[in-house]
Amino acid sequence: MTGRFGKERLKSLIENHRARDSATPLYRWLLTNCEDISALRSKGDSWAPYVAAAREDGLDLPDEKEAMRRMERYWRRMAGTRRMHPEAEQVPQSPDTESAMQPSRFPRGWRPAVVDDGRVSCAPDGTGVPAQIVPAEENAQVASLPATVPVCSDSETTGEKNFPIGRARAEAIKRDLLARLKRKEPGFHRE
Amino acid sequence: MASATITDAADPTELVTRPTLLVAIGRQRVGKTTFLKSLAEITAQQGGRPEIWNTDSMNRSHTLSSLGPQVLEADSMSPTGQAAWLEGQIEKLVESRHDAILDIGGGWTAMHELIRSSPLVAALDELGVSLVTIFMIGMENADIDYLQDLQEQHGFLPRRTAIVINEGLLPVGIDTPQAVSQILENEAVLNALDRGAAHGVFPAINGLKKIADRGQSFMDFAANKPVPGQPKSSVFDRLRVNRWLKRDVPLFLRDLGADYLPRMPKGLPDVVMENV
Repeated sequence: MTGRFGKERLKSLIENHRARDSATPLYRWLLTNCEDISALRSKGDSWAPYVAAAREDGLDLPDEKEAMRRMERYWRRMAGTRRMHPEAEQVPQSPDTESAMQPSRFPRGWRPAVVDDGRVSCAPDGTGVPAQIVPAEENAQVASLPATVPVCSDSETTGEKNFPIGRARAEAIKRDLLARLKRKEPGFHRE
Repeated sequence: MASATITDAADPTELVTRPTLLVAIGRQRVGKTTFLKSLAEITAQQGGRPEIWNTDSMNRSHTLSSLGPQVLEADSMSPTGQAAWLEGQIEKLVESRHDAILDIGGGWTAMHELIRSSPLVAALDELGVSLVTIFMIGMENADIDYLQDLQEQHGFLPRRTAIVINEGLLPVGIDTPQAVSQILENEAVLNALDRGAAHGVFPAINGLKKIADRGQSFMDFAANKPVPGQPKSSVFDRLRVNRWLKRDVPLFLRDLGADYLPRMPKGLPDVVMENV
């Protein structure tokens, strides 16, 4: 049985950890509590109590099943990241992750198109202008949705092993496919 | 939407159309031929006249050759011989300015041989040919080996690269977005996306074997063209193929984008949503 985490303890944990800019609140919550979770949870145990704990901490999660699935996925991803980059546990908090412009769409180090040291930050699509973020709802045109995130011509990869641009694009693709499935669009669910 | 007209990068004002060489790479039985065959048929339907090159010598039943005598076949079975043939074809392409669709088959192929033995991407660019590389993958790790190997060992990731997940390879009982999510966790895929690769999900098709057995094009099958010695096709099979050709594949092509496709003078095909 999972114990209560305690708000004060969680607060201090949060203060001592820095969450990656692009991380979702759930990911950062898992990161903050990973030691406790590792100690309490055995492989194969249900994620239900942890979903309840996250909710108690004010996280806005989808229905139980999806929340558990997401938690499991993030947990596996986090374990992989920690294996490769132990320093990745120390990542900054980002208070703005729930805004309309999902930070997860942006690579780490993303800056608006302002001239800085003579250089302008490049949009992921390589157009040289900041990428316009269109909410999924507005972008919902049957049969003409760009599942393909525009290619980053002559892309400037960060060279980082955790592929921030790739991850941001992968998340956008996943969201798009789920939205299509929800709309029962053809071609994206087998019949 | 109009089909892509890609101009020589050196002088954007010069309206010289660069021919596109489109090649699908992946292990055997990941759907490369199915994708290329449907693309060749739809491109022709939309007024395009790409050359069709086939170096897939292992696949005799399900092959681009079923598209007709216009398909050019390599005169050698060995990767090195086929690579030499391919070089010759590419040189001709520079003259003819046609687009080309190449089926290289699975395994270590002529294309891999060219990538290994010559600076292919640089050479193509110099020759004014736009290379579009489609990596066809499914959910198995082995599906991604080619992408990983060519990326990491050979530094091969052309500017116009697309990661195409074949829906037909995804296991039953798991919905497509969920399966795709898992594939997108793969480091080789993330690396490709990080470097600007495009992405698409190629729609599954049922009853492929029946079409392969008949040695027919998809469109001929959907149009119920008889094949001597073969039984009449089922109306449900034809309806399924028809819907796939008119709705699912065009939708996928739109997602992929005209820049990743051979030229289609009539534009990308309409997506027929109803009564197919």
